[in-house]
Amino acid sequence: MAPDERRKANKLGPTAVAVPTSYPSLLVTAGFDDAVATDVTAEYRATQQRWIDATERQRPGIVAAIGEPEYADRVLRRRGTLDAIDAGLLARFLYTARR
Amino acid sequence: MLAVWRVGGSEQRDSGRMAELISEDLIQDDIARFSARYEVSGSDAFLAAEMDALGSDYQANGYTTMAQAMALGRVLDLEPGQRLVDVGAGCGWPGLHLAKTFGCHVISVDVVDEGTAASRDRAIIDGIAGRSWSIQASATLLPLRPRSVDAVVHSDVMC
Repeated sequence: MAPDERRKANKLGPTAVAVPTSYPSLLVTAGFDDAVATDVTAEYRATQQRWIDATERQRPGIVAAIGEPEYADRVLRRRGTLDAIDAGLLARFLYTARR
Repeated sequence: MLAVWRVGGSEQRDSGRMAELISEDLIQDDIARFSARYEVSGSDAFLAAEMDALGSDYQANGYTTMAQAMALGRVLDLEPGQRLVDVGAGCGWPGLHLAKTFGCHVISVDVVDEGTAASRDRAIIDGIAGRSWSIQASATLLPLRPRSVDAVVHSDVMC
């Protein structure tokens, strides 16, 4: 990934999710084996689109709770994340493993 | 057995940047941000948006849908009497719902106090308070004995 693409992925990806290495290696380190990864990026994109649509439908109530600037930031971020998914910068996986 | 919904592009991120991302200051920023979020996420408008986006009403704002949560329960083969740990449970999604649906016990763990409080309240509403525990703790220091649980879920959370 090019540096500017990496910066974009970092900015638009979930800020509360961070690991210092790959997730499969973390599972191995934690003693899990037989890890299976399932790509669920298509569902991730669909869910993000539903969040955008639902947030816009509920705009009056959400703005009343958090204010217009925060509302605008949240919608802008979700739209940016959608663009990053479409650009292949963000993905979502389900990992299952046993120990 | 463990099932993880992993979102993001971290596998493609360099380790130096990731070390920066998980610095203590950032974690504290995340906790503050989630505290503020949980204070309003129980409002009618947020819950209505969550229902449309995920099919849930647990003050969640991630990407684990109702269909995916049910799939997790089936993958984990959850049964009554088993202990499930939801690491980074927030306000209880999806762990509380899995416990309610599959009859297992659930231990909801999160670093954000507002989340664990909301999870406790929701367990009472869901009628599963007798087999639900909410613990404020970091995933790196879980206050659980080895081999004391049967399954773990971990979705859309900080690590």
